[in-house]
Amino acid sequence: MKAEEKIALEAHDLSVGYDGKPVLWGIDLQVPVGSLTGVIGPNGAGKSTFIKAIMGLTPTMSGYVRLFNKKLDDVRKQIAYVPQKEAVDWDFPISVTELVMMGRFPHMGWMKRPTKKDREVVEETLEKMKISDLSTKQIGQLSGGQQQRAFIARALAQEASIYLLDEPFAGVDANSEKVIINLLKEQVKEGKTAIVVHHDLNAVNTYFDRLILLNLRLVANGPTDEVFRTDYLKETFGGELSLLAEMSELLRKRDIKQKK
Amino acid sequence: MIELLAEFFSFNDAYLNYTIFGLIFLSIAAALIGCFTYVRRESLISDAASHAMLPGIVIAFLFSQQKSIVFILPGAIISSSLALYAIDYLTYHTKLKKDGAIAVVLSLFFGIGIFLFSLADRVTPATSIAGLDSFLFGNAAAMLPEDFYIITLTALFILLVVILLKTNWIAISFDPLYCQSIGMPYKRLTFLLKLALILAIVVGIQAVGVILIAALIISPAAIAHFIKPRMSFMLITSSIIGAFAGIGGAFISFVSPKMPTGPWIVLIPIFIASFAFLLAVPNGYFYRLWTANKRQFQVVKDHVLKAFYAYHEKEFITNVSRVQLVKQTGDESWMIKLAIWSLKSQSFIEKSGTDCYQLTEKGKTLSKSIVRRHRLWETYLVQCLRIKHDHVHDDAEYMEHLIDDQIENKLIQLLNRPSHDPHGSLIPY
Repeated sequence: MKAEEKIALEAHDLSVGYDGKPVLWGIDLQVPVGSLTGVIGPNGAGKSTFIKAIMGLTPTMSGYVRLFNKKLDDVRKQIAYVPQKEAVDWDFPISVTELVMMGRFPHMGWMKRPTKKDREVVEETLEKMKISDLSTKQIGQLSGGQQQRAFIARALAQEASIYLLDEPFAGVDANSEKVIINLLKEQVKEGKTAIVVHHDLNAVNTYFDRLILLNLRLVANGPTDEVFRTDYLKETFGGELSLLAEMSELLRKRDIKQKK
Repeated sequence: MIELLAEFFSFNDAYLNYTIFGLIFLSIAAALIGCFTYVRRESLISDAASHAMLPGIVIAFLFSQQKSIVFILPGAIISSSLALYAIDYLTYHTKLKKDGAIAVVLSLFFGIGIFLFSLADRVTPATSIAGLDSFLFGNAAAMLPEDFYIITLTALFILLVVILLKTNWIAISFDPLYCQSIGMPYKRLTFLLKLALILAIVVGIQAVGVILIAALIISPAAIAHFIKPRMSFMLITSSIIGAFAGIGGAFISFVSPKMPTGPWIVLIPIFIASFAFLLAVPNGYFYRLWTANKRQFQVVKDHVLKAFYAYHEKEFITNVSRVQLVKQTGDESWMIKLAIWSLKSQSFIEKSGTDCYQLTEKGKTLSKSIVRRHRLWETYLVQCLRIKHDHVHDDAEYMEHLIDDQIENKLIQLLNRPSHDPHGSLIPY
């Protein structure tokens, strides 16, 4: 990493777990401002947990996270999170506009009354994600790809500096995938940072300029052309880490709690 | 009956007014909170919360030897909160899933309640226990001015927090992870929502009873959701339904003061629900029946126009009799008569003899476009999807009614404006 690059995200000796049982072990990494970073790893590698830990949504057992060299609570407004699509109930009785308006909450007072500017920003983001014509629809009436675009529109409406996306391309049609990746690239060009959990190795080297390879611990972190190598991938997806996984399982079974 | 109604709605009796407005207010409060409970899929939790009030009520009664709401209220709130906490604890710390935890807690608390209830029955003099069973099935006739004031205050409080926190509550109910990520006070908001639920239940138990009050909470929201699944609409509509339920309950307790009011108050929303299921637009039964018939009617009209085209194409006949139209379309239902009449009144066809018709210029254009769309679709299926040409007719037979200008243009572009369909018939442009 070049010295003059500004750091968007820094994780230092970060261990994350539920109920005293670790899911991620000792993560040390830095992500520079203005990068589009993919988080890659097999199922159960702790990719989503990593994203949640950045925002303090999971209890950390050791270490810390810093964003723009500041504590999380000082920069919360700057983080736009896009949860996994399955995390919410799409039958919920709200419209697309109401969903995207949630992205303006950090800019509103506690009663959440939208101003004219909030409405304008929401309209613009709907336009950007090409879902303006769906704005009054109940969110369940959208296709999978449109739902994901609405979700990302909400993050966009937040006007944040760093985007954390959890599997934005899962269950999404080709057209939506194109809209989403183009938008991310455009945002990064404007100096924003994006960290994206990605479920497969397809298109990894065309989508992301940096990669974080993760499997319970950090395997590699760096520019895609340096890190996207067979040996690292083998280490991430292969069996070399099975001992660590086995120990995690053992901890869970024996109900042993690690000290915080 | 009419005299009773007149007397009821004269609002002359102060005590009766307490009952009427008390019931209306508590039903509205229940309905408002119910909207959130319903969309959070926590209907059963509200049921557990209400059943779990019984032990608290009886214990409060045993200590105070009074049925006054002032003593009963804290008892009910405490035992209900304990139950909600127990559900959360069991779900989080054991292998029990949420539905299992709810069932366990509900039956445990209610069982203890019934046990204490029969105990209270034995140890206290019959005069003071009388009426305690109104907490089981509800009795609005027993409502006192002090009950009314507590209900009104609580209902106003609930209305206020719903107005203030509506957007926040909707957000945390829909996407808790996101709300936490932007730093909303998620825990405090959830706590307030649960508190409001318990308050809504607790002021209703004397009038509706612990067993049925969950229905008063959930059913107005469920009906409103069926009519239109939007939160703002649901909040208003469910309040109106709740108010009706309240008035109905008050009337029953006025006509027959000894009858438990709970079942009646609960039956009224269900009565309204059956109307909604029949009459709602666009989800109700009749509306759907009507649109299905309308669509079917459009299909018949299209087929009549196509029949004109077929006679002209095959036999160069332009004057077609009704008998021929029935023969060509194969449709002998009442709709065909109506279709001919409708096409004539829209001047797609005109009379050209006794019981004979011919296409107008407008009709010619339309019939051509239906045939064109039919044949374009057949061509598309054969050329692009490689379906055998003798398998495409039936599919095209209903697609022709759905294809609009935009799709037609796409088809023409895609197929490079074909001149003939797969059966060799000319495609008319």
